[in-house]
Amino acid sequence: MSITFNADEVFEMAEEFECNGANFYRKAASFFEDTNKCKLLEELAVMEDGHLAIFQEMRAHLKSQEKEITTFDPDNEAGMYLRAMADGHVFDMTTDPCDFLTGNETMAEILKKALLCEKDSVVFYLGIKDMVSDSEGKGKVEAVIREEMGHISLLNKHLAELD
Amino acid sequence: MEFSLNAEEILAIVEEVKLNGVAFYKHLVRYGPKGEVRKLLVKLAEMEEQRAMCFADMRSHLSEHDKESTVFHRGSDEWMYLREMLGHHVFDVETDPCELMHGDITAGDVLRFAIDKEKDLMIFILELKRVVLSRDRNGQIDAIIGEEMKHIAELGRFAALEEAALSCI
Repeated sequence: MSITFNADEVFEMAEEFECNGANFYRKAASFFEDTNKCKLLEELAVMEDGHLAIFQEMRAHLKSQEKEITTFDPDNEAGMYLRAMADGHVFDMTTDPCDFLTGNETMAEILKKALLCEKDSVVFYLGIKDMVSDSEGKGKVEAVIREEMGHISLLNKHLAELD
Repeated sequence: MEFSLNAEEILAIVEEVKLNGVAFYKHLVRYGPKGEVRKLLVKLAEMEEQRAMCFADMRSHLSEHDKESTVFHRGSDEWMYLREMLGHHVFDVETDPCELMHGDITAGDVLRFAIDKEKDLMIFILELKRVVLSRDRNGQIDAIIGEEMKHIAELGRFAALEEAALSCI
């Protein structure tokens, strides 16, 4: 049995991740009057915008043949991994994290939710990194992973300060 | 204030997490799942055991340089991350997963828990790669990350099978 899915769709998912992330941080920022909290959340949103642009660029540069259905060997680890991501069983792609926000959340609750989303994005992008070659932008994906890891570190730091 | 930790100590923590994983999956087997679930849990326990051995092997081959403590300065990102990781924000290395098993827990619950643990561990390993271990160890760390990705894919595949089975009831 072969597993088929489209490389274009994988990048589309990455774009959706980043778009949702930026929207989440901006919506959360709108709940606070505290300048420091707003600044932190707005800065995170801007960084997600940057990641979105990277994935949009990579997707735009996919060759036409790469946009068509790609068949992955079921024993191919990268294929298996991305399939698990795309199936929605490793994380929920169908729910917009903004839906979590009602306006009644504390900063700690928002940061914890953001932490879960950031971890999911790193786990997903590891699969994308394996999918793309050096010439297709593996280094860019690695850079995004490093920045998302930086977000995790930053979120943990701010969570610790709230304790 | 400074906080020091060397590669040997951190690898020992990861090894402990993996051995907790072995205990977790073996404990689930004793809960009595049958067929495919049981086979998968046995396999996952074996894989966790292999990874624990891999980390133990890495630990036994650390150079004297790697065994030197890395000093993290209070307030640095690395210091905060590792402190918080050890302080259980990312995952709790002091809680045996078996302690979390109580009440009417479904296979879906177990899989979600296991996938979350694997994601946490993946993040931790990536952080280890970044801040602690010397470059000549990166090949081994990448191999472990590859194993963890395979593990997550298998858990995801099983979650899909579980959902399909439930939808047929």
